[in-house]
Amino acid sequence: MGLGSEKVIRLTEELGAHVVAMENCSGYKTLDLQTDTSGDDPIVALAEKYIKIPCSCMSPNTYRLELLNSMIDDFRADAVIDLTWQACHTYNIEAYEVGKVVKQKGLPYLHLESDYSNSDLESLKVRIEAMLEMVQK
Amino acid sequence: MIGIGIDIGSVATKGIIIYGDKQCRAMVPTGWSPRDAGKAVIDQLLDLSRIERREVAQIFVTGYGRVAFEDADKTITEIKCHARGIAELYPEVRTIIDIGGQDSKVIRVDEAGRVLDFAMNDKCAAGTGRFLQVMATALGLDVSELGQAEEPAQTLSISSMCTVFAESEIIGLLARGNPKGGIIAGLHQSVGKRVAAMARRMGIKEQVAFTGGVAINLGVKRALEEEIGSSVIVSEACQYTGALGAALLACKL
Repeated sequence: MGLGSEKVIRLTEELGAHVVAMENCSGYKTLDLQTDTSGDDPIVALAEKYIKIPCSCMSPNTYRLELLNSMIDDFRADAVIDLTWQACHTYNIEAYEVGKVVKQKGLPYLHLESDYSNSDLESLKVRIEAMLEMVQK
Repeated sequence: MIGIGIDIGSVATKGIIIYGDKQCRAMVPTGWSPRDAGKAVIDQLLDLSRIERREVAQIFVTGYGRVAFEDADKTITEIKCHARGIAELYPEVRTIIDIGGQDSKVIRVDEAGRVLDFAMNDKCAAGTGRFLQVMATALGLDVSELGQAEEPAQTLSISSMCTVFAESEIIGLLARGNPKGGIIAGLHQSVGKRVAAMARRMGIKEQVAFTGGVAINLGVKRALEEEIGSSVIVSEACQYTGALGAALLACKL
């Protein structure tokens, strides 16, 4: 989730919230994993690191849920927005599990499905705003 | 404390003024200018209640036009306003289904009227008032006449959810000589199915209230009740629920 997601970040911050962390393909997801430097073969060690990536195309993908769970605590998030792109089916399906993790922690969870256009700005805004109202209560 | 709540929707702009234990309400079509519609409703409310603008402590605005209206002391989402409005009218309600001109929403609330979770339709018009409006035009009716249609012997199922495709489906059904009543019942069922699916995803907890302009339509109410398998409460002022919530919040109630 690189280019394009800034539309949701901008809306969220314009509505008075701060985006404190991003667990996306180019974000924290890749940073939590460390390469094992104690082995003999660095190529194998790198491959083992890469194959553990908590991407929704991996199954089962329990590490992503663990990662989200600890990121919520580490960054002291008040709510979680799960942005999936239209037709990104693996992340879309995984949103169900992500929602359960977030709600179990007692936080509001908002699943958005969008695309690279600006046509849904107002309807995204009302959802994000309503979620922030849930945080403020 | 005197407070005004305005709900600037995509089709109609609704307003409620609360002064003491009294209330007045007004409604105008939103038209092309949400700002002018908001102003017109405030003027009507002040006229009706014989209250001066300076006596009003706060004006809270909700609805999709809330950002276009500069005179607001605060803007709030329709989701929170509907939850607040229903908590006032029917505190026993735990699930709110709101169908307006361009949105349908399912809102889960707790006993204090706080929002627990919500779901909203995508940007497409399926399952909204706009869908019914376009279909009414195809049938040569006003949208208000759809709900008055008598229950037909047979419901013709409309398989297209998309507003554009459903319109051509209706034209096809009419061309084959099908009665209007059956088509109208099919349209109501289609909206009911669409919204009920969203409600089931959220989890339906009784009691259920139905708000928004589409709630006036008895056919949709019946279809919705059938699809979710529980009765729904519709207030006589279902269109004003959001405005009522905003007005109550403006009065710090």
